[in-house]
Amino acid sequence: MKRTFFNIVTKFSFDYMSKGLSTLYKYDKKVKEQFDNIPSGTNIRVSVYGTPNVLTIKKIDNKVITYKKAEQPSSVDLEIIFKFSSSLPKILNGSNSVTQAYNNKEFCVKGDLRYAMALVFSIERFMGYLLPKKRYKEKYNRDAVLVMPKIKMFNYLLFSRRVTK
Amino acid sequence: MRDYYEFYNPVKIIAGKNSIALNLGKELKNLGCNRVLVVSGPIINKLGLTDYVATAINNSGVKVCGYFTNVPNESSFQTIKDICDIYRLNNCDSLVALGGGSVLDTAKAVKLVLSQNAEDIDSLRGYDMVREGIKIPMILLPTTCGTGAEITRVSVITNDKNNSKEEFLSDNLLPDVCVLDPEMIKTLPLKSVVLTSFDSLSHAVEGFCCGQKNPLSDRYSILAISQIFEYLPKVVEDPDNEEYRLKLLEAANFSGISFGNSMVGAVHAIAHTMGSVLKIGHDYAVSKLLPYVLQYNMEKSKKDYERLFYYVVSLEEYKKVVQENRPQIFVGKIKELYDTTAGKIGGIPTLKECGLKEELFDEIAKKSLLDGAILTNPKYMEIQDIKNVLQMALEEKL
Repeated sequence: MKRTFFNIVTKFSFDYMSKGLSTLYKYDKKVKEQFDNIPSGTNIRVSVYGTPNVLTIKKIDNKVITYKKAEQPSSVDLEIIFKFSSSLPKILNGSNSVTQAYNNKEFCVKGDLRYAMALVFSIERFMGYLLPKKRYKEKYNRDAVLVMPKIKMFNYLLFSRRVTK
Repeated sequence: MRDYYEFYNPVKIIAGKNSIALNLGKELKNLGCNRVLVVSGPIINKLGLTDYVATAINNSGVKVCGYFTNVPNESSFQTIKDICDIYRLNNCDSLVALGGGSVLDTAKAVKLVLSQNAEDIDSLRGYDMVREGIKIPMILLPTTCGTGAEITRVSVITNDKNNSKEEFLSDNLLPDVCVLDPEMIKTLPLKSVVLTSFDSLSHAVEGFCCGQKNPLSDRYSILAISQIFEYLPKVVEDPDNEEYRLKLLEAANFSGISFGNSMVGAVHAIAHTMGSVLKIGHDYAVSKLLPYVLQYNMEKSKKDYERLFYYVVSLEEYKKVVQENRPQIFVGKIKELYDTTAGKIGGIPTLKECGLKEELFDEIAKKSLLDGAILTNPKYMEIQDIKNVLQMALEEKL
């Protein structure tokens, strides 16, 4: 029951994460800078071990696009695999930071670690919009950097479509 | 409290005087080897160590079928391809490599390519990108007391095409056996002993303080740190003492086991970048940065430093120091060890003399943030924090 709940949460999390990353790439200079360290055409997959939940994004030219479920590439340049179904929900609700999850070996990285660093930076920036100020500071040891009001980010997360092309 | 941890060390370790002459051939036979490729560097070769190892192998009835003795200081994708070609041409069935970090990393990368039956290493880059492949028996013989490369699952190789350092991480990089023989570091210059020992010390301390520490890696760190603090000053006083040199070789091995099963931190993240920007040795860069990064991490690592302090001083000195001062004095002891040993070997150039200047801080800081090791540093770092550490290291002020 718990696992099913986490799987559902993860499915929605991936959806919001992909929209969040595309939005930040467009509006946040620092996130764009980090992603521009990744060569164009690089495929990055985030998945949860033992579940069908998967998020595959691709950095191309001046965009970060998300692959549709039916069009997943057979191989990727970087894969981040969460070992436990509870790991990603714990990051998103502020129980764990991304770094803490990495230190606890809750996810493993397969591929070029430099690309993973760009993704980690971007996700940590994204978390600044999702968590309350105090919680973010407690978990990430710094103040959140917001390039737009939180309400604007939520607007994108709830009402925009995933960038797929 | 951490939820869970992982620890993996399947490598057989043989250590002691004459351990190569007495054991190398037997271990190769146990692994079913008949035709060995020996890999080393030009300096090791000139010192006669390659011949020493080849003789030990041939005396056991196992045949040395090929040599590659030109591994450069900065090994490259092309070097790995060349060694693989020699291995295949001579129908070898095993590898024996002797040397410092570069040679051992090269041999590990060669093993990776051969095990996957790949054309070159380019397709295998990154972390954990390969599954177990063809079995390639490999024995590593370190000739410095720093890297711990004989026992870690990482290999760093320069990509000739874009001159960047690429990391390969896989269980397939581990050797079957490593042999710690003081004969291999008998002629290592004292300056190299000091600098490589500091590389080993930084592995141990960072492994103890990093985000991925675990109880097993902690024990190895403690072993390494206490051994380095005890025997490095002794080696400086009595450079020809084989026992002391063996202790430092062991300490490097323990450090390798520790950080190979935990991680490192900002010392290595910044040292990697500083090394490529200033073209300075890794062990030199690490030895210069260590006390200053430890000072920066003080707020988060106080308890760890307090615990380590017990292992670097005598019991009497430990009892004299009040608890709240122990972390700071521990960092001071690291700096003191460096200053004392460096002073006794005629001094080591400063970072300023090696070309570090404030104009380079921005470039070094930005690139350091892309290094994975920065994630596991106990205290979060941004560009300005790295610049502050570089400033401290430049001025040599704690």
